[in-house]
Amino acid sequence: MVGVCVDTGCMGAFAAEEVARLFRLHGPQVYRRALRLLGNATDAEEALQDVFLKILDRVDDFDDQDKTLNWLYRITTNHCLNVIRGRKRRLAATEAFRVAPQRADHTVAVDATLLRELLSRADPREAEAAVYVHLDGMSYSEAAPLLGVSKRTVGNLIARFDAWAATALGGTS
Amino acid sequence: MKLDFSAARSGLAGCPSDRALDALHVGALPPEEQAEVQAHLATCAACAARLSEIQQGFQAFAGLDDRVVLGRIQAAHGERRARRPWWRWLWLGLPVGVAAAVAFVALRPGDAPGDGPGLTEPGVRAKGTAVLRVMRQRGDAPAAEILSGAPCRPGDRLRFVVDLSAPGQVQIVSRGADGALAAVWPAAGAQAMPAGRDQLVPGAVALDDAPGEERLYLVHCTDAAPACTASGEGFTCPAGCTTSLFVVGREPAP
Repeated sequence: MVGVCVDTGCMGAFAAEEVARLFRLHGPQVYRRALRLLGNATDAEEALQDVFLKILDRVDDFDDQDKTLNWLYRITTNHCLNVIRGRKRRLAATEAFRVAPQRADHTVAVDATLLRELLSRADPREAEAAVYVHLDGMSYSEAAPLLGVSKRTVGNLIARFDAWAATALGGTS
Repeated sequence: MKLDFSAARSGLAGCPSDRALDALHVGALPPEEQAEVQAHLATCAACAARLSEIQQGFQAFAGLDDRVVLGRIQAAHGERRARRPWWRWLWLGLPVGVAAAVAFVALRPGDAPGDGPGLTEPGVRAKGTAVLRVMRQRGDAPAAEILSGAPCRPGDRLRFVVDLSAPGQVQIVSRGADGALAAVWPAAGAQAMPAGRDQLVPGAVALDDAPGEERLYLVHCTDAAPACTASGEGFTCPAGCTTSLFVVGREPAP
């Protein structure tokens, strides 16, 4: 068990074997998540590598599957959001959002591509909440521990994101 | 204007979240939620397919070689940890566990090289075509794969496994503290190997009690002989060659 490691200098074989095991267990989940967030295999593969390098520094924390899953979700999400924001900085600042057609009931369908564009410009905290709720389909209760806030605060973050996104999509073309 | 995010999700409204399915897969879902999700799966073909994809692991992603990615992670981790290498190796004949030494390579101690200009070691983010992996056997325990940087102790026996995306000439070398290269396998020259994963290199090395970490490089050349030469703090290899780094760590003295 990795838990027997009591010294920061003992990142040893147990830890190494644990990382390999975690890679086999959680790597597909990280890759799938990165693929959905980033939209292409090359960036997702890079994200998979980067996330697991971070694991090497934290491997002795992974004695709880639930916490491990939450941590991997958070680190993957934030890593990918940073990549998305980095892409945006490389594009023209005045670039408009892709025009999304409105339905008869004045609803705009936001697919993964458009959501990615929104995430690149949104407030980082609201963007993280939007990923959990809008992309992953989490309830506010599920998202709350990942964000480290109450269920009510998740609702507030989502409300602010939705209002900002509606304005952004309606105000640019 | 209202926004509808359902097209961005992999599940429909009322379906379990991605996290719930991931948690179910790794056994991290509380019993009551597990029963709820499984009841949903029994009636929702779309979610059953989502879970099935999760259960396939890396097999679900065509074109992704997870072993190569893990190898790159090992190399990058090793690069971070590489500090003061010098080891002496005993080359053992097969089978693993036989203590008869058939060769001896001594590497000189000294200051660790820095990663200065002109160094032509592998870029750890490069899309390598060759990966060096290491199996460690300790005592009578079964051999197990270790990651680059994992500390080893005197008496540990190491075997090498190679993943190659193309056939070529292969050698494993160790770079000493002064930048000099020493052959680890084969004893001289290089060995032709086919493309393929999980290729076990014959023989094993046993570690003695010399201190410090050691950098091992798999050199793989498709167009030329792997005639790498030491050059200052690094080394250079002919065009058409790629390298994969593995750091053998040293267990702290008790």
